Amino acid sequence: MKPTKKITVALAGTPNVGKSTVFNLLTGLRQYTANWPGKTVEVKEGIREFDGYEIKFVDLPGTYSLTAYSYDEVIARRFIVDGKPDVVVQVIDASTLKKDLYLTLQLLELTDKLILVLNMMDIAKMKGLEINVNKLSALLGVPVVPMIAVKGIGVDNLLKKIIEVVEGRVQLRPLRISYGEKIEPLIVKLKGLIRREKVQGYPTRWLLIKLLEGDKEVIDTLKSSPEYKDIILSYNEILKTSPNLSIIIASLRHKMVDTIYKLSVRQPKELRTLSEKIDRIVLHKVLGPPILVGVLTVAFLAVFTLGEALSDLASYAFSMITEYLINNYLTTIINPLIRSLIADGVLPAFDVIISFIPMITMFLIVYAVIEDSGYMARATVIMDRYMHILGLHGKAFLSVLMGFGCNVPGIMATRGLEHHRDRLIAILVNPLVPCAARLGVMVFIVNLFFEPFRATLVMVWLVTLSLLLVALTGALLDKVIVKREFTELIIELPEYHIPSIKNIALLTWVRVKAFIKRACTLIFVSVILIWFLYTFPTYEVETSFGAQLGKLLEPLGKFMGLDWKAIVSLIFGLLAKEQVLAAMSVIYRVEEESLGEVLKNVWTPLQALTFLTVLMVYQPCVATIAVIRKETNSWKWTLLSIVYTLSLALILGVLTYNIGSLFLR
Amino acid sequence: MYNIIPLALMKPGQEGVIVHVEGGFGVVRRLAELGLVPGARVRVESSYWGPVVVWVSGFRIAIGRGLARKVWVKVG
Repeated sequence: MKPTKKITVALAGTPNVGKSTVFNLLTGLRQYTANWPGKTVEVKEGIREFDGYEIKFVDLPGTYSLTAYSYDEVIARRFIVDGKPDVVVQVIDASTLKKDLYLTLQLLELTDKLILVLNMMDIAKMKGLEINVNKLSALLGVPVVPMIAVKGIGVDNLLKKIIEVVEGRVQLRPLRISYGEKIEPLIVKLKGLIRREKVQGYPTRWLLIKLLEGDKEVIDTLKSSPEYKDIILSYNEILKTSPNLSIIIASLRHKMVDTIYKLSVRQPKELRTLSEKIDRIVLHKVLGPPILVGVLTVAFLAVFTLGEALSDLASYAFSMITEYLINNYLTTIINPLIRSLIADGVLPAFDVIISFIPMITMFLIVYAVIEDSGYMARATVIMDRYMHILGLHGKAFLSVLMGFGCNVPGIMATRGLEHHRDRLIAILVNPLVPCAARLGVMVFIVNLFFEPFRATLVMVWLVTLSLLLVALTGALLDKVIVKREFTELIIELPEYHIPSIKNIALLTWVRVKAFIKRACTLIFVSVILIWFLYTFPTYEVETSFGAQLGKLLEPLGKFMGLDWKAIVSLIFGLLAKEQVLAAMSVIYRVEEESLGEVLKNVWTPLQALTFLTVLMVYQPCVATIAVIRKETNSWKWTLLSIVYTLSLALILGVLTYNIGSLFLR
Repeated sequence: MYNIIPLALMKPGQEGVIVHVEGGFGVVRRLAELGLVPGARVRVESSYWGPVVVWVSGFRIAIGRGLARKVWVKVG
């Protein structure tokens, strides 16, 4: 076999240009997600062999620009500099070429080895655009490869071009943008202070342009080193006389884009697309909201009805296997500890995981369809106003909605938020959205203690309270987390696309795999830990560490009118909130069917209400914790979430019980 | 005759040229990067409550209403 040479290719592009389709086409199943340390951004990588080369493709986050406006942009440009890719490929939507050229100009400043992919050539043609590919390539001085990714057209050409560029067989004469008589002298002046081609890997000219644009990260980089003191000083001088440099630079780039576009594209005078016509209905002031409700209802039902049914099925199949194993093999194990570990620890842990996977898969499919079709942006536009009432970003709507079904997909749905900060807030408030499991327990207990009319009122109160908490927590975090980025809605309305099944299948597969790998280990460990709590040291729940912990906490429970048994069931609820009822039947030593009668005897309605309030708010279940850990990629925020919800539950429990005891008796 | 009004007050279908963008440094630059710079032609696609959908240099973006109040457009 020929020795393979390894090269790295970065895929850049603005959002919604079909970059992930191109990536999937290039790498197929040989892809994986790589979380970058400390950040909530997931970067996909994949391998393709071609012509004796092993090419690693890195799918950078979609960005409109390369200023340090969002983490995505910082990550994209850092990779281009620090990751030292052999080639950077920019994927462009040929049908909205003009929008993408702005990024092209910035990429040209950062790298010499750029290839443009003009994706969706068919759609561009349908719109009546005539793109002169050779002209465009000549103007920019880099290769341009036309492509129709959904049909697999143009891939080989791209791969060939990449190899040609790597081997230096193509002449690249990247366009150098001149920023005119106002900016250029400033660059020359500052460059005189550096006298180097590169600063920490960044091309000096690029760095200075970014400095003049007021790029925060570049300023910090220069400030951190005393040798660049002079530069910062003269930059501050320049800023005094002309504060609008960034606007001038952006305007100049747009003019340049206009020129390049006019020279290489012929377009019909009136460019009206089908998407615009569709949007007249979808974003209509009367029709829009009901359409949204319809779409979301279907999405919700697909995830939580179909997904749940599949989950139940998986769970059922698993329980059959479990039973078989227990009956046939477990009895042969004499050591009671190991027997218990397997029967009450390991198998239930697998059960939790197995019952999650179908639902997560359904969610990821639905998410990908809404995203890929272009509807997500429209839904965000319609929901933005309402989400602001909750103190959240418009793009968080799907996260809150899914949270009512289950917080795990709810938290995963925050991926659409482009700012680390907005996303963190959305992740941290999500556990406060009452999930179906909690709602189930709540309905059961409320119906025991209140007659129908009051029961409804109590449920409405509990749900309202939780939404109130979402809003308050959102507002609180908004104050606490440093506001670096501007967060008012700015969102592109991409052209509608019919989602490609292959693309969605691949996307879902990769994400489910990542979920299993990252979240499931933690779920597994937590379930075993809880098993430990309830087994040791005596094999009896009532005398276990868990029960002792419950008794230890009883004085605290007194403030809320809750005894140790209630506290112990809540600790059990960490497994999954619906487990609370099962735990109660064990602790109160009754069959699950007659649990209601027993509870009615031991609790007053007020105690029940307090219990439910605590149940609704207190710490997320292990699966939710695992997914918070996975999505925030930080233990600090995960722990904060646990501590916060626990304290909140405690406060609300005490308040409910004490205020309530003034009225309810 | 022409008027200068905020983007947020433009009617659907109305066109104009941006003359000025107010606001913090970050957001002004962001809008500039997306093509909302002084001199750019815009057309409002939809605007009733919530974000304003605006057509600019070949694509459409929705921007929050608060922000749309800060983009001044020459119409006429």
